[in-house]
Amino acid sequence: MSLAVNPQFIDKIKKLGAFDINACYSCGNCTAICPLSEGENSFPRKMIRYTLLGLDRKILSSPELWLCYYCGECSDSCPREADPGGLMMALRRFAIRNYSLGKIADLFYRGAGSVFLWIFLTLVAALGVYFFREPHPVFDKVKPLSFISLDFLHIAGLALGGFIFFFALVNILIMARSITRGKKPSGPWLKPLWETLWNEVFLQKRFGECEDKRRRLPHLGLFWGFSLLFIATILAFGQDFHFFPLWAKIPARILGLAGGVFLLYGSGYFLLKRFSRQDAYSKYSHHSDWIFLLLLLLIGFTGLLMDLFHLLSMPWATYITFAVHLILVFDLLITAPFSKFAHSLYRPIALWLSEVYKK
Amino acid sequence: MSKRKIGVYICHCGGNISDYVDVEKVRLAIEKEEDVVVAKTTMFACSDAAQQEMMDDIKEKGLDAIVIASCSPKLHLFTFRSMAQRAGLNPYQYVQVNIREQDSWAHTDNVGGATEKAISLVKAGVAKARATKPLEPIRVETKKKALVVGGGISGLRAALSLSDMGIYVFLIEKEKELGGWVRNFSSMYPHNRSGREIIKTLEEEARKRERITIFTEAELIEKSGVLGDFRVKIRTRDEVINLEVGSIIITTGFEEYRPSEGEFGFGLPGVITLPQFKKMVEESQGELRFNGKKVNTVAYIYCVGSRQREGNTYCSRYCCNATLHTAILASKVSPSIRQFHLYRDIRTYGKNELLYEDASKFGSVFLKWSEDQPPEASPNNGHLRVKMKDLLTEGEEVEIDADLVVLVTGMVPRKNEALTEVLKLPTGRDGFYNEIHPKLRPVETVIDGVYIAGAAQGPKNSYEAVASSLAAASKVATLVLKGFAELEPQVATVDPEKCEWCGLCLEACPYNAFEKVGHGGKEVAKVIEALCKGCGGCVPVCPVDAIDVKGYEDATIKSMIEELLAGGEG
Repeated sequence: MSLAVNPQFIDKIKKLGAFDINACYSCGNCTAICPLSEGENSFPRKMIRYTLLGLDRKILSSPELWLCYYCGECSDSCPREADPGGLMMALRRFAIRNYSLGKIADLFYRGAGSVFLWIFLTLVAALGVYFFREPHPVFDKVKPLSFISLDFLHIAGLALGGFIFFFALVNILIMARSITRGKKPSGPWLKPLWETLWNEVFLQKRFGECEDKRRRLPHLGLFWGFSLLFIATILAFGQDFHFFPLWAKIPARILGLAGGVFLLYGSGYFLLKRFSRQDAYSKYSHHSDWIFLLLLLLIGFTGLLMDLFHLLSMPWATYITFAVHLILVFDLLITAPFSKFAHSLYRPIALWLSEVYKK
Repeated sequence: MSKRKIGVYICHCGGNISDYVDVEKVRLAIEKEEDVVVAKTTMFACSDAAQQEMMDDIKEKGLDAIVIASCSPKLHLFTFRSMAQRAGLNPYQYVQVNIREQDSWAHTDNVGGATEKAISLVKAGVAKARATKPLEPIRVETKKKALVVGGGISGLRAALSLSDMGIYVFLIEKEKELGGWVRNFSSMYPHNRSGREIIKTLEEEARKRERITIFTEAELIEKSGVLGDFRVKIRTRDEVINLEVGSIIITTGFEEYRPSEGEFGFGLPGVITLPQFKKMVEESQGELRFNGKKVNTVAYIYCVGSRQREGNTYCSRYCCNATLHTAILASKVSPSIRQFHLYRDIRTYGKNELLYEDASKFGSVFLKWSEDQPPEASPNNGHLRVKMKDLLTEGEEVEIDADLVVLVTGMVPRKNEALTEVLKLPTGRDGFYNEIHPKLRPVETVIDGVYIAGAAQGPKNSYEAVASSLAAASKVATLVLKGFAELEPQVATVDPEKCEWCGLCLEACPYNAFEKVGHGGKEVAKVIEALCKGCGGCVPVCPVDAIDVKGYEDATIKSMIEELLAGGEG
């Protein structure tokens, strides 16, 4: 079956951040220098060719997109300054957009329109908090739940969870179908799943193979920061419904605190890097990169700030910070299946599937 | 024969010879030979000191022939000939014996045998030296006039250059107008100047020059005479003109390759050649349109008519550059146009790499196909579907829906049988006129005084064509400006007593160097010495053994063979 060349495709990708990819003359330096490209999984050169020819189905079915950690070695050594690393990043944006149901993630990858969408979502959350706040919060001591009721948190949380679960599942299925199309499972699935989780998610070992190893720790910080906060939230949630004993409050607090610190470290590191624009990967930042990192930073920051105000017995300050925190969490989570956040799911699942579905 | 005084020098060549040939033994064997008055070994015969010693020997001992047993005459024949001349010995009484390439280097495993062989070879050389006679170079007067055949960019440029050097030029052109292909070009690479303008400038300048006479609709129909003194006949529309010129430059150019029906889809609407496409781009008003439809996607198929397995096996050189240059022009005309280049190898050599750079900046995409699986074009819903396996994308088979398929056609030799026959110019396997050596003698032909330049000798772009035409012009100038030329005297001679004109020698001669003359009431063959190359092709065909080549007479060769047969120990 021959593949139809799509001459217009390149325009789409250029808008997503691969500005100079036309300059590529197929020398293959990028693939040669990439510490992660090996054997069958040859990239970025193959991906450049797919892009230049507009073979979008080939791109969407390539697990190679998720093998790359964008260390920038390829872009630094490209004799044509075609920025292959930037292309891999742009292709991941394209993949996130295309794996989403009805490609609605496209809404988050446009120019000014996307920013308005974020503002709109923030306003929705703000209005929600405003209208569903408790009318008479207590002020003699700090009690955040007297400002935002637990019931509201539960209902909104469950609704949000359901929404995310549904879309994440559908999107992942779309992605899985793209990656496994025309391939058959060739071995066990459980062991690769566990290995992927351990190596790629928990430890992110592949990151360690990159030339620039400084980024692995903050990236782990982001992952573990968010994960710890997520676990803490689940614990707290479960406690409200008496699933867990009362003492579980203590580990939840500790996990939450640690998670917040990790999140601040990771997001702060990458934001600074992206501001300084010194490394290949930080030279160009799409607005989706900025928003994602800013949300993570602000969520960590407001969370910790809230605890600080709580400690200082400042009810108003605590409540306001709490409200802001909730709005930001809403922004982050409701867009998760469509934003840069989605890579945290696509990457391990794509790697796992590519292990199970070898030709 | 009277007694000769021969000097023999056996060279060590550092160790190149003496490591495998016992040079002292050779010297001792030769020393005893009749007529040998000097026999020496020398470390490097070509060194200044050794040459001085030989010159002293020639003068002091009155040597009348010398033999140097050393390397190939390709390397040092002229070195030692001029040494002999400086010492007052006729250079043709010097004999070089090759005991390096043909002996020591060939028999490194057999020192004894190599030495014996060296003795035989040197003895044969002595035999030859014994037979040498002084010869004088053939002197030909040269006319300060030149004929340039073909009035394209190469011919025009050559004519101007010749007239600059004070040489009178007859420039003949087959067509009505001067300028050849370039006349019809607009923007040309790499300078983006208009071919039309360039030709206009050259033509105006040429017409102004008093020393340039231009004949259009003219052809060269006859050539006789020798270098420096050719007589040529030119046929124009109304008359035949006789001219005398000292030298001739052939700049007859090329023809474009016409694909056969069905070759890469040629014949389908929308499948056009590069020259057609270039014209389209140049003449377009605003966006590119083909048959009224906007052209969004173009697929170029490279190497059409070039680098074929059978047929035109050569690379046409100009096409990669010209295609990329055209692609850049097309992008400027239609900025949204998408261009796919289906190539085998991109050869944008030299500064033309910048064309590749620019074309890819404008969004040109390159795909590489292999000779075994060429692209195929077929009609598809008002488009042309081009299928190919892209070697740059892991050999994936891809298909491009293009509005236009541009076949990048190469150059083929111009069909010039009549001219080729008149000049007796050899053509190469590719059908273009052949130079003697592409690097060392790039514009000279085996016909002395006749030079080739431009695309007549092989695919070239305009600036390469002009460079070669200037080279040819300077060759002509060195030949004719001096007023005379000296030629090798080792040519054939006919013994008129023996000869009974039969014409076989003329038939055998690749250079037409025989003429029929009267001698003592009969017709005999006579060698036109300026034309003869001394190849000896006529010698064996003569039924009465009337022909000898000077320096290689039957008797000389026979005496050499006898020495060789006598064996090294002799």
